[in-house]
Amino acid sequence: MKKYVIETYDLCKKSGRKYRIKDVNLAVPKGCIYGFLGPNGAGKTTTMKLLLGLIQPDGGSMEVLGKKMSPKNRFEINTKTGSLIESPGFYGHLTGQENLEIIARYKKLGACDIKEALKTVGLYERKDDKVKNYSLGMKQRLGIAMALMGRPELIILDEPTNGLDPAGINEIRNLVKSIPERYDSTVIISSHLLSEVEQIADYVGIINKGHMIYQGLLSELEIGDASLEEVFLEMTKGA
Amino acid sequence: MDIIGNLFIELKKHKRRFNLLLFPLIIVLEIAFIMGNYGGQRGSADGWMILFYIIPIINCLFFPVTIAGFASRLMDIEHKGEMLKCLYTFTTPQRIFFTKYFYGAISTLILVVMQCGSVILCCKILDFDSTFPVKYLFIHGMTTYITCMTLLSLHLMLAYFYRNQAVSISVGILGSFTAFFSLFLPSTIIQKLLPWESFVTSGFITMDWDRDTRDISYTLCNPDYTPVIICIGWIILFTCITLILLKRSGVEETEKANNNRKTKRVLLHKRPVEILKLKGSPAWIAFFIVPAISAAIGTVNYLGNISILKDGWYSLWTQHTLFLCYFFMPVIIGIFTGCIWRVEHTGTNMNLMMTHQRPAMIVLGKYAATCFITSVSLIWVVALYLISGSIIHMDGTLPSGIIQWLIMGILSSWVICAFQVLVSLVIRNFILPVIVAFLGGFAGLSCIAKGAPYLTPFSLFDIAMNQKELGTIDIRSFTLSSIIFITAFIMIAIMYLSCTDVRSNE
Repeated sequence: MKKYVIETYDLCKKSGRKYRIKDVNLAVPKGCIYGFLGPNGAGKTTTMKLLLGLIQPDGGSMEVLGKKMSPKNRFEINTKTGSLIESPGFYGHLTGQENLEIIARYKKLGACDIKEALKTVGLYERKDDKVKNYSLGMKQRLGIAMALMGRPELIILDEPTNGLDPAGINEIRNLVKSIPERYDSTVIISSHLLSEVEQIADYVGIINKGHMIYQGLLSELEIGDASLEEVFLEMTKGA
Repeated sequence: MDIIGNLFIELKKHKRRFNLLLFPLIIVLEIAFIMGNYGGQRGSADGWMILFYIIPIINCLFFPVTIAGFASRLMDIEHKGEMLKCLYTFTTPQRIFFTKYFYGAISTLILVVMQCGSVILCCKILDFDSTFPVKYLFIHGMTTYITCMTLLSLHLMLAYFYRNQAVSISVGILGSFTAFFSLFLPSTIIQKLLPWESFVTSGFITMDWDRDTRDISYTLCNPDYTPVIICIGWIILFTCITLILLKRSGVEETEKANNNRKTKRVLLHKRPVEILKLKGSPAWIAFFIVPAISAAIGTVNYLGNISILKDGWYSLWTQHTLFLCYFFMPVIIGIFTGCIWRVEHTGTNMNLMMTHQRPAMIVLGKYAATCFITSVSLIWVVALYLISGSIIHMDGTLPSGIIQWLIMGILSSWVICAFQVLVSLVIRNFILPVIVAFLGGFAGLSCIAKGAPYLTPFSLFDIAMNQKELGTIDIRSFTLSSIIFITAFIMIAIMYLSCTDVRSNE
């Protein structure tokens, strides 16, 4: 039987009277790279925030890393996760290294972990610059470094390649690809660069207007010669 | 027509921000203050003169902060969303600024009209004679409006060019206190030069207090228009400076220069995380400078009034701490908690924080940092007191209770810290919690005046530091009240952080 690191049951979140997501049932197998796809405003970030306990659901429940997510369990679960949600968070007046140091203190890690993270995302040379002077892509790299620090069991990346140059995208793609093997972790990655997801994901979940419209193996989704992009556009067209 | 079109855009931008609510709030507070103080003098024939005498004084305290807060709200929306970058591509900086200025001018007019209405309302409620010549209401309205516009010119400029809104509000608070305290000094031309003080210096009612009969009489004199003319001069000056700065302005990345200091190794800091986050922030400086200013003024005041102040060391203590405790300390604590939460309320930092730390630890970390700096500041107050006492060769012995005052002062300052940590957590805006602290200082004062010092965090602090002046306290009630307050505020803050949705990018 497959072991899931994330299972959600009829997850709902409202904003005002309107549902931002409704009856979302996710099942993310352990050790996979799960591509979470959907058009803008479909509910990807809302779902990811719910998975991290940053916002509370209005209906349904979820289990993350074998524990029921609740305000009480949130911190315990999050010690085993790494995340980059929306845009990266950072303290602009501090240097890149000092920003990672703050995360390292929270995660109880040492100087070598900071060094490793800086080297992994290629920011070691710029570690002493203030983050407010970083370019968009460099801030994104810093956000990824924060998510990877401490080799968490579950890594949630919300559009991690935003603002990166082609070489950077390629680099991050290879990095994400290597994570399950290197860290023995599960990765959930959301992106609207479908070709990118196509190259790295094992599983995909497609969400549109707050409803899940597909979940399963990527290989099962692609029918015949059609690319993921064509299938995606077809699925989200009328829904 | 263009400016009208832009004004409508500006109004759209401020939809659902309820900026104007700040004004009725201040007017209601002022009316409440007048009711509290003059409620007993019903039917007084010169009642309207009392109003025209006291309202400018209250204005001089409240209006600078209100205008600073309002100006900062006008600009904060652009800074927060990095909108200037976008706006500069389809309009000019001058247009952006002056549309805001125009919007501010109309809003300020509404404030002044509300104030004139409140004068008539107060006359009716207090049963004062409301048949005074309308021209005085007009003169009062005009001088108040010109003064408000001077302050708006200054604060909108500061709010526009400094992304950090602490600058504008700090200038507002400092101006308001300077103006208020200089009212107690002999009148000189300098007072007429201060724009914050023009509320009072342009007034037309003077008060005489007979020391023997204890009778207060009000006299109507010719309005002095010099401060108003000086204010117009200030408006022209501020506008010129703004125009020059606008001409030079462009959306430049601040501090683009790269850091040349490169380290070869990853060296860790030793300081606590909350203190590390404040690296380079000037928030803590006020905790040391303001007591020093307060001590210097207190000592000079003591030396100037040595014939009345006969209690030696004790009188010096009162001079040093009275105003510091009433007004300055709550505001400085408010600014500090504002700064430590602002770093988290920026961008998506709250996501980062909440995925890495327990809510209780977040709140307690912030609280500990605030308590630490406040306690150090209070020890500094005592040190300054001892130093200035020895410099002026004070005779006699030190007050025996000084250690007790300090300990209780520290405990009660922790109550204010807990309150402000909660307020700054819930209200994501930087300015409003500082205004809450500012008003809290007054609330504390009125609680003490009404004989209920254990009811607010601010009055606890006032009474702990000035026991001889304000009455001895019951240590048991004091400690109990402090502990209940601290526990309640911290628990509410933790529950708020645990149970509400994390808001980011707002």
